[in-house]
Amino acid sequence: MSVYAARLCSAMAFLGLTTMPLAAQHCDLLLQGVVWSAESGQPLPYATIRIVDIGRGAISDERGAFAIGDLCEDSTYMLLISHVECEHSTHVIRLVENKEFHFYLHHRILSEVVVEERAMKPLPAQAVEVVGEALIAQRQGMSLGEVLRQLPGMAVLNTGTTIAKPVIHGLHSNRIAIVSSGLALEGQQWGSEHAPEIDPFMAQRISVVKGAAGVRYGVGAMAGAIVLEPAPLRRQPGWSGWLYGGISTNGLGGTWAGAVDWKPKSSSLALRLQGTAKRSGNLRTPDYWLGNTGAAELNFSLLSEWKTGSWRQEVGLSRFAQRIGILRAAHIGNLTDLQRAIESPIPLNNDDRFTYAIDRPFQRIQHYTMRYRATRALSDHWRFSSQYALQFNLREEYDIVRRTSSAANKPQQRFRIWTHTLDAYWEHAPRGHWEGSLGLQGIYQYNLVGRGGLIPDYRNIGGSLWVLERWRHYPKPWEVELGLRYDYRRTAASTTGRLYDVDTTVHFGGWSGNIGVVRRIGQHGRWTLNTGHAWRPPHVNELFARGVHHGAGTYEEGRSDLRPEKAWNTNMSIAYERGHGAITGTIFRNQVRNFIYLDPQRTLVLTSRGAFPAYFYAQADAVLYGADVSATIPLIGSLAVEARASLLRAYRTTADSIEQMGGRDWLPLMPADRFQYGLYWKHRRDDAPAPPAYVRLSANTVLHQRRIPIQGLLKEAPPTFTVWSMEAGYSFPLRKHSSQYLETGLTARNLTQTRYREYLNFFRFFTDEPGLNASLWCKWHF
Amino acid sequence: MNTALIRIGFLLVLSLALTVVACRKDDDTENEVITTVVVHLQAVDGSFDREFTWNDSDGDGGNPPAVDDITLPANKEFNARVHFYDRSKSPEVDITEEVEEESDEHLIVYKVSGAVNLTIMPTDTDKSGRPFRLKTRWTAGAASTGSVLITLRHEPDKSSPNLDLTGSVDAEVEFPVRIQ
Repeated sequence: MSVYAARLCSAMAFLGLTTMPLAAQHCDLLLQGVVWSAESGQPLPYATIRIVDIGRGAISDERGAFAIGDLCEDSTYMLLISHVECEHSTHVIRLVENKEFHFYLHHRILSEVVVEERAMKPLPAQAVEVVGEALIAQRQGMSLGEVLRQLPGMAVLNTGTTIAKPVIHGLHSNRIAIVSSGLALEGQQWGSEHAPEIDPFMAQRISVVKGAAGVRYGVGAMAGAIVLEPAPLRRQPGWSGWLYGGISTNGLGGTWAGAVDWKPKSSSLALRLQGTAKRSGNLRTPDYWLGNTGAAELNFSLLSEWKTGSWRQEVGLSRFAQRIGILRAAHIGNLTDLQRAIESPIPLNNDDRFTYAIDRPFQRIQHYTMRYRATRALSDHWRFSSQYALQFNLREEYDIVRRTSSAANKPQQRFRIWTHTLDAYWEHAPRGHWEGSLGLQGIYQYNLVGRGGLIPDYRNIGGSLWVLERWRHYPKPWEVELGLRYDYRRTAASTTGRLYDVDTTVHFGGWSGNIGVVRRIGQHGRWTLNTGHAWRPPHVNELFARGVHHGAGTYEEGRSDLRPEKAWNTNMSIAYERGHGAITGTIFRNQVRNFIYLDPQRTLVLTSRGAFPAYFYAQADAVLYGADVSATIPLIGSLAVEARASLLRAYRTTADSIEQMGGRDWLPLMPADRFQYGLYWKHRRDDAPAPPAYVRLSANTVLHQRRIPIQGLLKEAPPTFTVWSMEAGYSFPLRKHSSQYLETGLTARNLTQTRYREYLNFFRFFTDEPGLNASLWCKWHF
Repeated sequence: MNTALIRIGFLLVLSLALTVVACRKDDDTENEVITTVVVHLQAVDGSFDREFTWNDSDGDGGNPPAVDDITLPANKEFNARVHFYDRSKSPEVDITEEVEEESDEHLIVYKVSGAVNLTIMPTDTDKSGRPFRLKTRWTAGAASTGSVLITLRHEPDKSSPNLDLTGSVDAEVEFPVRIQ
């Protein structure tokens, strides 16, 4: 699958060969591709693509995409591509299975045209949700969790307003993988109050794989994966970029971001520098300020790519740094404090005013990545890639301490984790209609917590082998995906603190596998069925944790004899898209053996701050099942109704006789059924390269979660609520026929100042969710 | 070739900088734990002088705390002083000093329960003349038994009418009390 960019002058193309199909050839190939505006990098709709030789053609759609079927393998075809605004261009192409052609057209006359041939990465056979460029643009300035909250099957686990973790079909943290630019994020994901260290501004596209994705993304992806991809780097000499500025009323927040892309004329180098800065102060609910909920963030990244000989090399560097205040009212000393906080309708010990200052308790987080990848075409059919990456994650937690104590200028918890990963993989072009890849991965991880930490220090060593193959044969509507992976992990944990000692080595190994079937239904539909097995080793905190979890008011203790979790995940989905309308539906069932959970004990543990209810880590079989539906139904013109529903049921089996549900108990903190519905209007100016103008009014209704565990809940789940939001945007070119344009947007959340609390927010015990927040932003593309 | 070298050099410098930042191996975190509460009781008439200890030096969980019974002679008055220690560290840290230094941000609360004939009255105030109660006077009546719950509150609202319930709990221990 050689990826090469051929530069053709229009004149040269006429020297091309004519088609001479031979009788023995397969004439069932599909020519598909995208026409782009070379200046703006935006897709070019309404371009005409004609195959001169056989007199057939197509017109590119809104996304610049086109497809022409029933073409012959190993033949050359002459293509004539034209657009009202652009110079006609002619190309000679030779078709190979499962490739996609990208044509970059210039508005100016007689300039160079670039044709690029890309291997079509098939969508995974699991149910997938994609946040495309347009939707990312509309959600800019939000955290990753908030961007994804809108997707069917997704929820967000919050710790107050500043910490948000994405949840896929009820599972999160160590059970999902977050993959950014081909690298799985390695931080302190185990903690429910540890948000992912990801800046959504670097991504052009975010896809969420719902279902066991362990073969592709490793042991972390037991319940799914979130995959972020940056925009491709410049392919033509010159420079471009964007600048973003946004302000929001709640918390008086400001967000600034920008990126510059550059490609020198005489070199194969392409480079991007990107940065984001955010600052906000205390947020406000409809009735009171949320003391100490300010946040500050400063991120940078560098992405570069160049060619030397037959190697294509890529270097990525990034830094993510954050300082986030934790609601002062959520700092509680013991169970009595917690009960008083729960009983009080307004937060106690609340600093009820606006300030930008971030005081104790707060978290300081830094994440650095450094990545080097080299890719080489070994032959017409094989390509080899290897990647080395180093990640360093620093997390410091500053608690409330006495001003005069020696702890007053120190963090109370510090976690440092270094992760080295080495990947090597081989990809092959279709052979007998099978295409795919195989690879191996090594990982070494060193986690330093130090004395008095919640978890011991540990070293992880792991290795994996995997193979993923896909069968596709146009025009047959069926596709089949098969994957198999073996992972090994060895963890050596030790702590020498005075409080307790651990010095143990544990190791785990296991297989992951999946079988998926995809069937295209006509031109507009797609049906997938995927079943997969995935596993994950118990994390160090589940094995060795010991201490009071302050936010939860519980005493938690790990168990060193926990076995790996093994999930059998099956999902089926149907997607149909035509014109402005679209409908997708997914049903899923995830059966997890040895599901690790916190089991409430019937004892209290006496501490120097009073007694706390004890929760020990335990294992039982669990089942999670449900359905997601999403529909966009055109009404009149470009006005459409949008509706989404996410339903989930999750329980575990119990050996306990006191449970009432026939040996079952609901799992805690599972998203309640949620519905989104509203109106969406968009307009596209045919002559504009920029995304359309749009207005969206939507409501989000989350039902009261009645399915909660029988034991151990401190406060009943909050009642049903509905929150209204509005988004509008308009973009316009700054100069005719130029790639410069300005996007502007206005969004408002919680329009009606609804007072509500979310079951999935740990701070539901203390405060309401924030009130109205209006933001205004603009993004200048140059 | 030259530019490639420059590029590689640039990346090397950046990665080195990263590693240097990353590898600084100082361990300057510090947790404040109160593992031990001591009540020092001296009879006003000088006939009694004892310390009673609530101690959980292995921290939360693990071994249960060791708690002394406070046994007092009947019909006497005592001067009481409470001490807080972190005995998970070596040498132990006397947190009482910090509490006294920031007396305006601390409050000690006593709750007597059961049938014990015991009253506790404050004998001190904080820097601003408001309740602090590190030092108290205990008056024991006739022989009886019960318990006393001692709570150290951090950052209480000392202007609040129910100040005993404000702030957050730094320590809360219960001693059985026997007057004989």
